[in-house]
Amino acid sequence: MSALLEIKDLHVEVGGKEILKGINLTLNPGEVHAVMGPNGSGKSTLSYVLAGRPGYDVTKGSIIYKGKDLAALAPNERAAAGVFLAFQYPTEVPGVTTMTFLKTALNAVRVARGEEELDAVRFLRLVREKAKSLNINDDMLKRPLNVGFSGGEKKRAETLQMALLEPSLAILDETDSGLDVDALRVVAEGVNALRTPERSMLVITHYQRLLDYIVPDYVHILAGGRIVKSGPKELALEVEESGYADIESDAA
Amino acid sequence: MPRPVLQPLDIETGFVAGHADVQASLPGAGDARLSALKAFETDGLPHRRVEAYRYFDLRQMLAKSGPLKLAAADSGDLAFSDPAASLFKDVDRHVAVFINGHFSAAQSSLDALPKGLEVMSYALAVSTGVGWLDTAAAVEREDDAVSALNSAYAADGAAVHVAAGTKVEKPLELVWYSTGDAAAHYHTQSAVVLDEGAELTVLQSRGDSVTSPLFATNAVSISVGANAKLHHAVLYADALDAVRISQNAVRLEANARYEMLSLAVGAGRARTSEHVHFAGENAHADVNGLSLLHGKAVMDNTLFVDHAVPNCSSEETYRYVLDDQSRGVFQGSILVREHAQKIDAQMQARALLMSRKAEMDSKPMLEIYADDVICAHGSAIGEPDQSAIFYLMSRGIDEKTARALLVAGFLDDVVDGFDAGEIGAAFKLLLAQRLGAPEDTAREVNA
Repeated sequence: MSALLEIKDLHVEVGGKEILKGINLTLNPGEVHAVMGPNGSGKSTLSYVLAGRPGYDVTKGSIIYKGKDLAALAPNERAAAGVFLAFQYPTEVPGVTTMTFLKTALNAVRVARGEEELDAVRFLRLVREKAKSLNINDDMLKRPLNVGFSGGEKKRAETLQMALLEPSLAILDETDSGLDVDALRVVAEGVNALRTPERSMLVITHYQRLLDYIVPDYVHILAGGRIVKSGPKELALEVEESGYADIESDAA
Repeated sequence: MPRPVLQPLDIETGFVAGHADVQASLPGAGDARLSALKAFETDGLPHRRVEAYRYFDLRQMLAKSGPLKLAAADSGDLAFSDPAASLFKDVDRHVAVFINGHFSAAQSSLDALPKGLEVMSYALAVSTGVGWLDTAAAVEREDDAVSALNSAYAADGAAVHVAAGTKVEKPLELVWYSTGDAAAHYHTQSAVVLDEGAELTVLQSRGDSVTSPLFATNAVSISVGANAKLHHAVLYADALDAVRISQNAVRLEANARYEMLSLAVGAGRARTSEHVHFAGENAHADVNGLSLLHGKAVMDNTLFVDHAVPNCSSEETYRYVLDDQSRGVFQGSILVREHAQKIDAQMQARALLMSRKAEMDSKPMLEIYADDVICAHGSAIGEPDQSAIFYLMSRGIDEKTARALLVAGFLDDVVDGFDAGEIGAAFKLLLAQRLGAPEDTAREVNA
């Protein structure tokens, strides 16, 4: 089986400062990997560099996705190729309705993947079907994208985008942040519904809590820009009990 | 220190000398025109050392122009490909057309005006001496060399009256169209008078098909009576060779409501002033201006909001998207007079610079003499938000479309606040087309 994503000795600089210092990580199709780590360990940097955020420079190493060099692609090309980042803090876009945004994004990705564009009627039918299970109503879709959305609404909107764009690799960056238990359950159910034997997920989180809902196949501990420990899902419980400090010192 | 005396320009001399030839064709009292001409002769065209024209040096702009001829009341064909002629085409409305400032009955469709709404040529209103023109004349307006020139030369314009208690359902559109192939000038005066409790939506669209220099001034006096409501949408689509000054003045009586949105998409150079005077309590004004400029276009929005009485509120929102070497100017000023307590006034101007050679000059001012008021002003000039562009791109949208969406959103945001109906939709469609942005899908949700 060939890997979906193969990260080798990845070094990344942001603003001239090295944040990631040699990451090695391999995801096979259908696997869910959790990356846990304390604040400042490089978790968000890893998610941004995979999505192609400007200013996150790969200085060494490689990211091979579906056999290609991911770093050579623009962010929209990565999306078309099936990479999706669910943002920790989704950006507010005043004046652009969520509906307009969704239709533009979906049709851009469909065209890039060699599929036909959806007209308004078929698009609406599809969005409403996907939105329903996430408790997203028409009123929310008519509002400007993420503007004035609650924490829960933002994360549900991210999950809806993921459902529509059908990625091969979904990166969830601190999806649990800003959510109460009820909101977390809705979002997690939405994410779990998207788990397939082909789709891989990289779940980035500070707390073990999220992993009760989205159960990973593997857990990696990120500290100081390196993965210091990897293991089965039980590793997350170890973090919960003894904290990051113990694991970091064990690994050192 | 006395200012050095400027040598009169040919164009200025031409305005003064040419008046005698056309005087007889102009409506109204000749004496008032001659004293206005005298005032213009004394001051000359305003220039950058006149504070109100600091960023719109009219003298400089017209310095190379020779004497101009008064534009003919040409009733040429309307070019309906022009956005000004088509923006509101899907809105069920009454239409009054003015060509080179002159009312054109043939081009207008005013057959089915409802009872209580009068629409006529300003020249006719003056010559027949309709009483409500006095109400318009009482509206305080900008008083300078340009208004003097306008008074000296104004030949026609629109005169609109809504009788007390009349709520006019269909919007009234005033189409201002310029045509001609010789350098020309013209000047209009218009009046919109809403009596007590009246309601009206006025649309204005201004476009040119001139292929030679045009200088035009337009003065509009608007009186919104007690409990009356005026909804006012304006499109400016000026030609490259046009230099235009618009002086709009509004007077609000008690409980009156005035909502205005202007959108400038033209290639010419324009200065538009809004002079809003609160004469009665509990009135509200919502004044918005959008400019989407490219080439060497200039839009100067000069705003003066006069809170002369207590318990009123006003909101002024201006946004500019400036590409190429275009230039936006915002000179906004709010005056809260002594005893005008409990005023809530908010003024904001924001600009996106899309090119390194674009320029924005922003000068918001508050002048407050009452102590129990809420007033704020803000001004921001910047580039499109990079993090938002990345967010949109991360969803598969290419960079060009992402920028267009973002910029359209920046302007649509104000349109949404002004009109959620078909007028707002018309503006948003035009903006999307101009920016190459995807059209708004939200409307289809309701379909």
